Amino acid sequence: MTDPRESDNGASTALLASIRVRVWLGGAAVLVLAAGLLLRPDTPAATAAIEETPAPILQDVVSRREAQTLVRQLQVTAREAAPFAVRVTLPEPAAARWSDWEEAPPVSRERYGVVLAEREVLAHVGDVELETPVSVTLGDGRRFAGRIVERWRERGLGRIAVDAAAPLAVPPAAAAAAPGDAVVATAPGVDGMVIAPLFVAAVGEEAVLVSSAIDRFHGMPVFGGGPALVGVIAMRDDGMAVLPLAAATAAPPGPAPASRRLGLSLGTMPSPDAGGASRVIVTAVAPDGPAADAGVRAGDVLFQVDETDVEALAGAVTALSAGPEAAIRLRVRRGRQLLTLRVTPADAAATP
Amino acid sequence: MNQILSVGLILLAALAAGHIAQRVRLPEVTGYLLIGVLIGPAAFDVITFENLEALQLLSEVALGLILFSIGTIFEAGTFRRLGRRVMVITAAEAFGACLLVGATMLLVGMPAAVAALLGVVAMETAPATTLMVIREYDSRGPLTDTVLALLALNNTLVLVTFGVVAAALAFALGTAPTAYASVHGLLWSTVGSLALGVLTGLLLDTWATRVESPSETMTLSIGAVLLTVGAARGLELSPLIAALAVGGTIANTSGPTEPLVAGLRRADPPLYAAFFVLAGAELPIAMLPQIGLAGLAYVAMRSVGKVAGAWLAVRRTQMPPEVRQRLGWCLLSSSSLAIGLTIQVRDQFPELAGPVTAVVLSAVIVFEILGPILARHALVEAGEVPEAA
Repeated sequence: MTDPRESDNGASTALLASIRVRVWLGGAAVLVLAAGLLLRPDTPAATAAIEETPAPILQDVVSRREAQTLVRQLQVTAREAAPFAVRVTLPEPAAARWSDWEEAPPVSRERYGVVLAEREVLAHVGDVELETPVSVTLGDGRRFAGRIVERWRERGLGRIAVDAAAPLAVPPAAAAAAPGDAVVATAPGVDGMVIAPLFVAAVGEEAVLVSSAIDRFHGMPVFGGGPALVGVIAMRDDGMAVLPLAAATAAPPGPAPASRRLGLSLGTMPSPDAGGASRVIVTAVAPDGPAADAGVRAGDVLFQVDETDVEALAGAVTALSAGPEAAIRLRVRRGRQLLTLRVTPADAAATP
Repeated sequence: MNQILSVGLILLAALAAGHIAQRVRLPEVTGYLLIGVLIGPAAFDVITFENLEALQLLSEVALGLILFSIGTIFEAGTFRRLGRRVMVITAAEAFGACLLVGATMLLVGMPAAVAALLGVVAMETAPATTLMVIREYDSRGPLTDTVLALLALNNTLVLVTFGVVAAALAFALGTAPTAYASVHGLLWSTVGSLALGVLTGLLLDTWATRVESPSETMTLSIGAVLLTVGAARGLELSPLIAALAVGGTIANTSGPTEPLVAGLRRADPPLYAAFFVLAGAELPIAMLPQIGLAGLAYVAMRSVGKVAGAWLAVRRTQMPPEVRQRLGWCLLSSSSLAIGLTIQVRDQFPELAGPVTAVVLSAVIVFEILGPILARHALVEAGEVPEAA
């Protein structure tokens, strides 16, 4: 092969033969690099050098640019956060299980989660049993086997021990969110990353409320700039919210909702004979659970718990939670039948 | 499979494929690429996406070393000989392809921004593939000299032009924060990369005078190039321009260039083989059926632009006829830089990435397979291959 150097040997004719030339050139290179770094647009020195660019007059142009910048920033955050977000695939029979606090039985085997520790992830597992084997997929596509080792049933979350040779990357410390902040929920979906931009509506001690409906993102981690973990989307008594990891993995204050002790899940549906208003119905009954033993069936319309009339879902949950540990009397309508069923909660049955 | 096993498999597969390619009178690099396609995710999935991700480092290292080799072309004496003519030819073939492709993309209905980006990406000639063909056949002569010089200039021109077009588009689309940021970004990625490469080259040359044994020289060369590529990535500079600049600086110092380059050459073969097998494995063969009208037009117009642009420019020079008639055919390979630019488009202009990616990636498949074959043919016809294989 022709080597250009072969045709023009001779040290004295080389362009950079002279030491002085080399020193000057090297110095110039150092200066260029230093100047480039110092004058970067986001460094303090750069601010002095940048002139004010006149802002566009039209509001829609400004908001379009801002929106585009914001979307790009969230995309960057989501991309950087991808290694910390996981997807958990449940085995088929487990995925079909119902859970008390969810209004309808989940049908998807794919759940979202986040890396919790070097060989643990936190994910939405519903009421799947402990030691259930699962598959964990990271945002970078790596897949591991795992098993569920702990559950926080009130949150719908579970801790999964992952069989990984190398430690997983743990997300950086939680970011403090403020109302109005843009954050992004992200996790690997079946066909690629799922990204949900969210805006912080309110910040409380134990939860960050966001302005979008997030029910379908149960278990998905939410990141702010950095990317730093704001929290994970999980269940609270009054609905879904973004919970910091500490809150998500702690038992909720106060007594656990009794409905989960009863082995049934509730939902709402419009009732034609109630003038279009919603009625509370039993959407699923756990096989071999207390409600099943008592004869409750899916589709039963619940209209009374002990002495309390039930007209809305929240009321039904409250009534079931507030009940004593002894048997609870449910009055349901099944077709044209009115039935009174006595359900003995699992905890009460277990106490000697 | 684990990464070490996959690298071992890649190297052995490359060796076998290279031999088979030689038997059927194809360039080795074509063999490497095709075996990469076969063992990659598109076919037998022996090398999985996971492996490809993990071996990305290997590809980047290899590309840095390749560009360093090409950068040694920028020797002042060679340029005095070839200089202006080569610059004119580079501009003609690159901008010829750019304008033809851009205009055609507009005609087939692409938005102006997409057409502009596709035009710029079309300017690129794959440095690695073309260099590999030249090395494999040990070709020498005016056509080879011209092609080598063109490769170096072409890649520099493409990177600078892409920077300018991307900055202009970012500003026009409102995705650049300020004009200052756009200008700074452009200068930083070009002049800054050049400065990094020059600095590393000077340091490398100074150290090389104190190093004598071939193994130490090889270690020094590889370490310096990797340092440059790594530093460029860390500082958000262009690793390609920086690596080119290291080679160019080395070529113009009075120190021992030949041992440095020779040192790298010893390490080249397995790295290059792995690089091309990985490139083949990454080729999105599944996209080929989606090439569509835009993709076919891109392939056709890029080829016409390069061949015709080179031919027209060479006609006005005193180059011998074997160069005039065949230069354009040596410039058709397109790969890693085009893919790299597409990734940059995906990052900077995500809303435009879809059509750009589809067209470029499907065209790359065509050019990567055909390019080396055409280059080999041209070099053989020009009589610059010692034993016409």
